[in-house]
Amino acid sequence: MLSRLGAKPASLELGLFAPAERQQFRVVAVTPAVKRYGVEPGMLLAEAQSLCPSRVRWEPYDPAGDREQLRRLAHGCSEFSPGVALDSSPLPDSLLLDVTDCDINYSGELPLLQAVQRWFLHRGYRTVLALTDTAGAAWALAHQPQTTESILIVPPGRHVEALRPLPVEFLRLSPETVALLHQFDVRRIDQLMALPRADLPSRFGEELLRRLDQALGNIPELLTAERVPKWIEASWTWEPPVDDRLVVQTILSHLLERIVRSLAPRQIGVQQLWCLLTLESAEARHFPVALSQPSLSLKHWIELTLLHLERLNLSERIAAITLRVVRSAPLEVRQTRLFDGNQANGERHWRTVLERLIGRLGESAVRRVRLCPDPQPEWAFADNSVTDETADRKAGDVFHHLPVRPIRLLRRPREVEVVSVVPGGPPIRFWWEQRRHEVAHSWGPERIETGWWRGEDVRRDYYLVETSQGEWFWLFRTLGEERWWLHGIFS
Amino acid sequence: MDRVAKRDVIHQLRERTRQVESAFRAGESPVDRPAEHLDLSELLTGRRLPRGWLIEWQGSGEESGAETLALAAAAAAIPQGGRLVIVDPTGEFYPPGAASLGVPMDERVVVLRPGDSQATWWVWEQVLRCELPIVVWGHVPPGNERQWVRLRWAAQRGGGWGFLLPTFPPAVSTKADVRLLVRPLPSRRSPPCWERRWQVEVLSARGSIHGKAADVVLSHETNPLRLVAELAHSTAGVVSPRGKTG
Repeated sequence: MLSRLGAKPASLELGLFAPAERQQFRVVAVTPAVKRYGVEPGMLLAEAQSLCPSRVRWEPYDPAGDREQLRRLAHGCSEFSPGVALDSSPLPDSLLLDVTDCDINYSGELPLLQAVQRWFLHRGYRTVLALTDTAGAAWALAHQPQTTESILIVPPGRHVEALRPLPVEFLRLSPETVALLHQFDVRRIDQLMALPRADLPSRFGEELLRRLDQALGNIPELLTAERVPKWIEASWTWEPPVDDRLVVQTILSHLLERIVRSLAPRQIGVQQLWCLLTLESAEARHFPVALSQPSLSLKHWIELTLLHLERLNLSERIAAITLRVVRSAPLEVRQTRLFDGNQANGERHWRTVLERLIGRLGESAVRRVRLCPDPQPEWAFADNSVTDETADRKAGDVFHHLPVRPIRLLRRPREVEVVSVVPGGPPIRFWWEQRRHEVAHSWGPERIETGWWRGEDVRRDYYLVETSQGEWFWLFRTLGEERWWLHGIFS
Repeated sequence: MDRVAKRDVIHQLRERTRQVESAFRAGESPVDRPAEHLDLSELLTGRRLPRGWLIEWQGSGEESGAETLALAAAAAAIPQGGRLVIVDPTGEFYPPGAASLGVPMDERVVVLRPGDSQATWWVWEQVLRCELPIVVWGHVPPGNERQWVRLRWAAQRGGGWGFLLPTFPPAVSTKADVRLLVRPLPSRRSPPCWERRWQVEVLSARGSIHGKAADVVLSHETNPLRLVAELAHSTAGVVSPRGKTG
């Protein structure tokens, strides 16, 4: 929700859905623009779609993406508090900031919260902030739907009073515990507080009393603060800027050496780094360099980075260069072998070769291919980057019967002159590359009518033809137009 | 233990381990076998090729089918744990056509699309130098003798196999271990049987197959590559059926 909806304009018509019971989907979150159509979270997706115009976009909910986005926001909030944690629910949607004594720099609690609010607003997020004595009470007050205030400050020692009228749902309880409380007609926190404490765990489980006591401040709540990642980077600035590639390469190697040396004692390898080049006009150019496995091989990193650098077409002189490690991992510990040439070494070498190929040619030129169940020849396969970890999962289509197809498909079908005995019949002669080809055998027609949803209605009769010389071609006739095209060569 | 004694012990251990490993490797295919023992049917069906060989498939014309025949042989030559690399500078390689020849459409196959001839040479060299057993199939642009020597050296170092499709009749010797000329032949069976025939002549080769010729048939229905008649010898064999793979 945060990653997809959080920082988007209010006019955006977007909703998120997630799988629910009985192979149905339910709406998880919608933008205010979609709410106008009467759609609410929890509604069945089919029902929501029937209420909205077709232009509303629906995307699957990504909890992992949300958590990651929340974590990034937590890192940013470290300027307001030394301890920023995600709330402990399975699907966190809040940040908990320990701001004890942090208001000194802001001359009061309200200016501090206003600064936090501005920080979020600047990034496109509207927030509800609550400041109380306990994290549980702050969470409850920030989530209560009746609130019209975007900043709530409860004076010290008054949080119990603030909590009393709130529904029990805001104690961060599991849905089962809340349902059980409702069965006993316990709906508000003050009703819950009136019950004998000793009986609560046996009737409602340990969770209830723990959450209640955390909100009331009777027991401490441990917040696990997010650790702000410390970038490992190395930079170099030229004054004046340079355009000598050799100089750039030398410095690049030097920077890489610095990074490798700093990580070597910890046995942490670099898996991905960003190279940022600042040009003379202050324009920035950057490229990622990634490995499939973490490595501290200076030679390999230098080689890959230089291969990437060679592909850049720089029209200006370079003023500065920065290398930043964006992904690192412990180095793989492997048993030393006496001889090379075994499968494991081969696989490692193959990965190195792939990384080198990507460095020189780019990811778009190093591909894995898979077949797709699409009758239109142009769409019968797809390719993925070899670094795409989901590609193996996509390669799920198994084809038990493969029709005969050429191994070369022309990028665009080329029109050819064809002679048939009867209109609509198979070809008996055609001209290609200024040569006349007499057809000895032909197989067809294989009618392919498809693709209307792509905006291009394909209606073709394909023929596989063998010439009197034993050469094979793949021709088609467009239905309706009666024109002939060469589409593939069994070269 | 002094340094010399330690080195001797390590040397002895190395030798003993090498012997043990050799015993295990004896059953593996492919093997480092002498070129003299290679049979033409083995060559054309990609079986038990000597490591580090470059095989040039020269077609009598663009539509001769040399590429198809070479790809069918390359698919059959992929060893266990190996890879097939398709070098496709034109971007016209069509995977469904390859799949119908038995090329597996999974992580074993990688397609490379270098942008120019210089990059294409670089790609060939890099891939052939890989220590993993790799079959490389694709076009090779015109090159000079130095480039061909480097390519051959890369193949010998890595131990993979290159199925070369020269774009033009090469001006210099390609340094390939085997040079084949592929001519299409009219098929003998009428539709609906999908069967393709070629005559393959060995223009030059290391070993005993030099000068030989054979008729080869590829059945698109059952997908075997068959040597139906070896023109210089009477031996013939049905080899290398590969199941269709998706």
